[in-house]
Amino acid sequence: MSPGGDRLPADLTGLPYSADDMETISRAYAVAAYWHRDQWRKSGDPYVTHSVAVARILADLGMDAASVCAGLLHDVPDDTPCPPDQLRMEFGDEIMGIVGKVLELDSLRTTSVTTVLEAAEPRVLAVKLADRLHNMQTLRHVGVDKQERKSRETLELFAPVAAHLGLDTLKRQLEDLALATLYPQRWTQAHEPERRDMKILLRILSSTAALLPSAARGRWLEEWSGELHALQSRRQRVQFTLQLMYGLPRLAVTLRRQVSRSPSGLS
Amino acid sequence: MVTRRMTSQTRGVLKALLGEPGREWYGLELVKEAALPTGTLYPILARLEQMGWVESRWENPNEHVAEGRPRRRYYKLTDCGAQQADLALQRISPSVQRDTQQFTAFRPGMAGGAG
Repeated sequence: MSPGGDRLPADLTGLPYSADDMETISRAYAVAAYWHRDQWRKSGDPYVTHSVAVARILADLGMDAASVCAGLLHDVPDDTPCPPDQLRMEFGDEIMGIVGKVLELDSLRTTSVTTVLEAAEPRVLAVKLADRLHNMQTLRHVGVDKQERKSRETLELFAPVAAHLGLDTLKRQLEDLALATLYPQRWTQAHEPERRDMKILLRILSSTAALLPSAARGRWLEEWSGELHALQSRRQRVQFTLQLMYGLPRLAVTLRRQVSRSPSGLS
Repeated sequence: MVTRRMTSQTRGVLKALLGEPGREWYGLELVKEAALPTGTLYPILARLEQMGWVESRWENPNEHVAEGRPRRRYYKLTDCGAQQADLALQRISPSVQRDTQQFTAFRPGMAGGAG
């Protein structure tokens, strides 16, 4: 089996799972490496490096061995000719149930955080988020249009989902990658202190924005990031952020309140 | 229906928008024009948008990408919003201000006070 063969890559060694679980993880890796053997990432790396990276992210998040195996296998059913029955016989309903749900999530094509949260259990969402994180980490290898589309989706959908699951580090990583992709010129032209400032202020705003309804959070955060980048001085940026934080509870109340849009209700 | 006065902050935003009814504004422009803190402006805009008085859209990618800056969100009065805002501002002009307690209105003004 190549590339990688049966030997477990360094990223998957020394994980804190039982010997039995490590045995299943090794088998999942071997199966993924075999079926993805002729496939390559846009970066030029063997495709299975993505499966391994996703599995490692899941292990680092403290997910169980079934989730790690699902991470290794998540692209096998749809992207390779591997017979689904064979996978289910080999890895059982628990692991393949997670993989199946991840694929269902992909086909939902929704932009609603609530819909995503209701559609799947946390382990499924964690696999999807780990998949997205590694795709964002390697986003520079795809076309500009796709980079922008994926970054917006990450900001509006996946970062809020991560926040809901309490995966704060993952959420921040997703947001940082998305924002740096959406505003690269501004980001790279900025001097180091300005970049650092911006990052801190965006992080503060993003934490405070947790007050807002999840479906609306991405939009407002992106809008404010845009405004923040347009401000020239540090003083203006800090003032902008502090004033926004002050107004956020009010905005949260406004957004949560349903208002009749009919003209007759406006008189 | 809540009977309330429209706050001066909301009036300020409506006046700014009515100054050039067809114009699209992004947040920072309105902050300057209405002389309001950002924390006050956005809840007002959100409220006006919910009411259908204001609509918003993202800037086209070809504009902001070419200039290498983040996209802005543009706001403008809807036709209905322009009429209603005009009416509302007339109704609370100084000559009729005493009547404003009878003004049956929305409460974007809830968002006021941060300044």
